[in-house]
Amino acid sequence: MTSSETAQLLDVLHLKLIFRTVEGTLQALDDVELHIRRGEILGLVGETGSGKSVTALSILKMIPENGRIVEGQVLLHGSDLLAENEEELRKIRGAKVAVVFQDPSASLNPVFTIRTQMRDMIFSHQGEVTDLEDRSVRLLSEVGFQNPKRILDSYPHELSGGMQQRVALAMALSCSPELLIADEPTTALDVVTQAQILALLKRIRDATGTSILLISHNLGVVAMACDRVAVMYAGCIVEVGPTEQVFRNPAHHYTRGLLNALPRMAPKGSGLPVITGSIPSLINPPTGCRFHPRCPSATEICGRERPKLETSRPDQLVACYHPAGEKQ
Amino acid sequence: MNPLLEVSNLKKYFTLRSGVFRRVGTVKAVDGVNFSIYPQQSFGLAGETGCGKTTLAKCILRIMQPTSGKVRLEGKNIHLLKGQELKNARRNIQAIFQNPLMSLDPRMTASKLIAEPLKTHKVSPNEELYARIIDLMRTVGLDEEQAQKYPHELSGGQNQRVAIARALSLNPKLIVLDEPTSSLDVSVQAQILNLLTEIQRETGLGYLFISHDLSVLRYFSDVLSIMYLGGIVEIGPSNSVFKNPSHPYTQLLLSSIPEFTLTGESFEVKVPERVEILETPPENGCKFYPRCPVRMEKCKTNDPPLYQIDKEHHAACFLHDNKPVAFYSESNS
Repeated sequence: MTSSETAQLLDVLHLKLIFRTVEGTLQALDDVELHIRRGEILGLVGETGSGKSVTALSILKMIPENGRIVEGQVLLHGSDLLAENEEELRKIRGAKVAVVFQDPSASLNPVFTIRTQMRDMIFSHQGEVTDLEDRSVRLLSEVGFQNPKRILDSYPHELSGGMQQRVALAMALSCSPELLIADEPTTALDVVTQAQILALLKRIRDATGTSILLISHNLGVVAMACDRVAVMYAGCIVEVGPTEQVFRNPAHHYTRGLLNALPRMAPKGSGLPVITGSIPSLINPPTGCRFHPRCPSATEICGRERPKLETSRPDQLVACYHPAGEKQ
Repeated sequence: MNPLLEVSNLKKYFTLRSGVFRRVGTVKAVDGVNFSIYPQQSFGLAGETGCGKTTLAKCILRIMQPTSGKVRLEGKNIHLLKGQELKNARRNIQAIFQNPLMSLDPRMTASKLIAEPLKTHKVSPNEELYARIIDLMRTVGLDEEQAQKYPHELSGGQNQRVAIARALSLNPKLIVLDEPTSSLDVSVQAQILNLLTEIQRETGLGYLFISHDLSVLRYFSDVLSIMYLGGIVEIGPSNSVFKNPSHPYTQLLLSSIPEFTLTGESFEVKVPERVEILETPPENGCKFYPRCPVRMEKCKTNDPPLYQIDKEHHAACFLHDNKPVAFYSESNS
């Protein structure tokens, strides 16, 4: 292992995952490669069905019953999580790798107080601890509550969506995980609350050094919070790099198309540039580069051979035979 | 030019009951809202969850009876219309909702869904019906072969196109769009926004575009209004509101938009990190008082009227009390 690789916390290598459905075998993930560094916030963006959430769930081997990992490894500190048995995985889930989901009201139990739920979370990983109350209070104040004692006595329905998400974050942090997976953590929230939660994620990272994998379909959210970004399309990673660099100078035509489709600076009525065509079916995905039928720069080789993720600019990888040139 | 839609001093209160009889309080979901929409105009309405956007839309569509106030479509109060006149008004004002899978009948094919309003209002003779459906489907960018498909066989974007075709089928003058692109991916969102703009250019209809996504509204709307807890706190030409946000709530919203510019210098989050304040807004004062960073003593006891920031740009905040009061605020009190 080279020195640059040891800085990685988690490596997802050649991950291939299929789902058996009535219509046929769905090739949900194809050769996904992802490296999460220590203390970074990595954004994973893509449209509905691109495989973002499935990638995250595969890390913890929590895939639905009809899914099967055909190939690949998920290395946490170099040891393969996919090779672990259920019992070992239970120790890792929540303790070393924690998850926060989109809808906080669905991840909290409606009939127990926050105190009970935090106690259960800590107890299940660390057993009986003497400073339970203090620890819960500290965690809740870390996520920004001014009156944590009152929150401990509340039931989830007494809290707003933003507050519930903060509680979910506090619980996820209770065992000081090395990696926090946040799957669309702000999608159900209002913009102001969203900005606060994103600022909180950054602060958590700065304070604890926890790496965060932030999954979102919202490019703005990723721009706001992430150090690096990985773009997914139809089950493949098409581009990875520092957020600002990728968003200023996207090398993959899909990334470029997505950015252009955002109603940001376009004057009214000018017409937004769109990506022609629609997302392909993963039961029978296009050969070669999965984006080639919609790509403006596609040539014959794109339909024949799958491009590999290769360095196009410093620290920026792209899976494309004809990467877009730099702007300016 | 006469306005297409005039909303004046519209109020919708809900009574909270405990058990069957005992009243425990009122929720003022919409509390004295005034605005007008002109033909060929896109009127944007932004606000957070629970601020009353959808209740307002429902009152305009006459799905809900307002507590008081008027909604006039081309001069006629739609809540007083009956019979044929009401039917005509319903034709002229159509709606598109957030989730097409929930607003379209799962047991009807695309062509049946589009035919339904045409049949209800008996606008096309039966022999011309199919041609009209195909025509509408082309307008919204659907293929003829999709006519026989059910909603579950179509994608979210295609379903939203069916909903648009349905709304367009009766040649309405106004379409209420309640978060029409919120459940769609960005690339599909761009297609739908382009389609809506194109339709407006061709037919000259007006839009009431409700969204919580300010970057979409900046692109789409001519006039932008910001709603907070039942009232409009700022309203004006879209450019003017974005350039010179004058209400502290608008400023907070704008600074929270997760976006970036290609020429932008900063990727920083500017919002002060705070937990929601559980204080309830003062009874007679400004609703934004508990969250306002620049609140004053008088905000607690007086509700600010809309002040005129610029010609057509108004904001309800005492920071601007050196400016004249907008006229509909006067009729309000």
